[in-house]
Amino acid sequence: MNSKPLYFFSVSELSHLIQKKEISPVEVVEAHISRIESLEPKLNSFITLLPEQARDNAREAEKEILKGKYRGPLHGIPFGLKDLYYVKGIRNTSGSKLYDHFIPQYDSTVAFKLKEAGAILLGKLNLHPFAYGTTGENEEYGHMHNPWNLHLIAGGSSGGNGSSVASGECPFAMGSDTGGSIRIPASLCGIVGLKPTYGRVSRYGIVPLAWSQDHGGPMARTVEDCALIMNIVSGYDPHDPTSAHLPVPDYTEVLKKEIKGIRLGVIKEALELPIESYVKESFWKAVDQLTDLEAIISEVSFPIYHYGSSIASVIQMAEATAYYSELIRKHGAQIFPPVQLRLESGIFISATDYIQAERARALFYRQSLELFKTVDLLLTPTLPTTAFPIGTTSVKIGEKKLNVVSLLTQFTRPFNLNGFPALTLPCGFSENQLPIGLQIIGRPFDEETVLRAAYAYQQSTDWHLKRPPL
Amino acid sequence: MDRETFQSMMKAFGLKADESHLEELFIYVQKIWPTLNRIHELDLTDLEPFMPSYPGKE
Repeated sequence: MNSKPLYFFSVSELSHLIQKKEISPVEVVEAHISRIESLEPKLNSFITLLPEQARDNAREAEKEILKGKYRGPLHGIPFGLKDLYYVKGIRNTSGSKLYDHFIPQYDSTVAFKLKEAGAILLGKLNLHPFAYGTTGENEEYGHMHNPWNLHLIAGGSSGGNGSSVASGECPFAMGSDTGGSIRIPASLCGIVGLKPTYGRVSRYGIVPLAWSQDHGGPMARTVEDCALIMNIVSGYDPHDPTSAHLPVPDYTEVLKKEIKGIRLGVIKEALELPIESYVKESFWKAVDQLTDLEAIISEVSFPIYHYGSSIASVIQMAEATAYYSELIRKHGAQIFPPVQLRLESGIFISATDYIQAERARALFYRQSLELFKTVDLLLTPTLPTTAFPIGTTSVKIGEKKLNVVSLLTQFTRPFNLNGFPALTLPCGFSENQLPIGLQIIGRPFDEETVLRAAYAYQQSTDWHLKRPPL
Repeated sequence: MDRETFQSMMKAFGLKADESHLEELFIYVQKIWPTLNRIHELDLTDLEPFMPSYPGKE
């Protein structure tokens, strides 16, 4: 057996060993609970821990597997859920004390599917309050900390997902992404995060932030694990009015196909935005690596790209304020102040502004599709920088001082606007040993090609094998 | 947006807050306009609002 600690085995590795009965789900769950107990005082990844329930479920999984009732690759695998995925009977805070005692009466579709697949829930993960922020700061339940340097942000809003998966507290976790909330913490913590196409994974039972831009998706340490998880959580759901009625492929099947001849486009306009030089360097090295794998690289122009974040922000502000309007009126003063301001500012987006933004979105979508006539995938850095200290409100890159929300979403938010699938994976480290991410974007419902290119890149590099110094 | 319009919109929404918070929000809201103005730069002639089609549900 592999000599690394059990808590750093991938989902795929654990799955093979459990299926062959070489390890028991009980051992796997215990290893993760011990890891959580030793790291939680430093990381604060979780809001609610469920060790006893997890132990019970592990014993049950062990019994089933010994009786020959193996449910599939996630049977007996522990995981975490961002604390806005409803799980029947388990409190769901959305990262705010206003919901400290709220207990949902039904399962989100994703939680239900994972439960049916035999996966074992370790707990509910910490997040930026209401998922409305990019840093993973939360004054009520405590800030999330980056496992690579505890003084730095884990990123948000799915910060607890990023820190728990990178540190070995969980082999995988499910996050949500409205402007980059899966990809930002995944990149800052050095793991893989996939925001699938809008409609691919059900949103039913995930607390909304902005209905038309919310996406649920997996976060794990390898691309292969994300593919395995996608096989379970994807698919049509009649409870979600925006769910796509399309067949779900086996995402693991395409992984091993070579990427020779795949056309990759580097978005010219994205690289005109402020980016730290070391991020740019890692990005171009990753592009070279993909060229070595015989992908065909070209530069593409996406003129409306620079408008993407503005269009998406207007839509998000209006939708988030609409969803939380009662809460803002009744309990505004109890909301984490930066989130309170964001929520209240949506009051001033008029119906006309919202519709104009939706018209602009139609143009953005049309131009996005045009790009894919000449390429199969698009590439950008995931973020323009690495993690920075908790409490930072603006970051200077070159001569430009930028607000952290705009900065961290400049490459991610445009793909919430068009709903195209986008994945981040580690592609390097800065001099101070902080992870850097590469973003790969695909055509709508073509997660397969995104995963295939990401897998080929990951197999040819070892960034994903580095572990934080905890 | 002037203060009078700001206050009337706050009232219409039903938001009550202390003076210092209102001042902070007033300053914050001024930052929205450049974002909105960016959208006004685009030629949206003949474009209808984005209406996603949900595959398989024609």
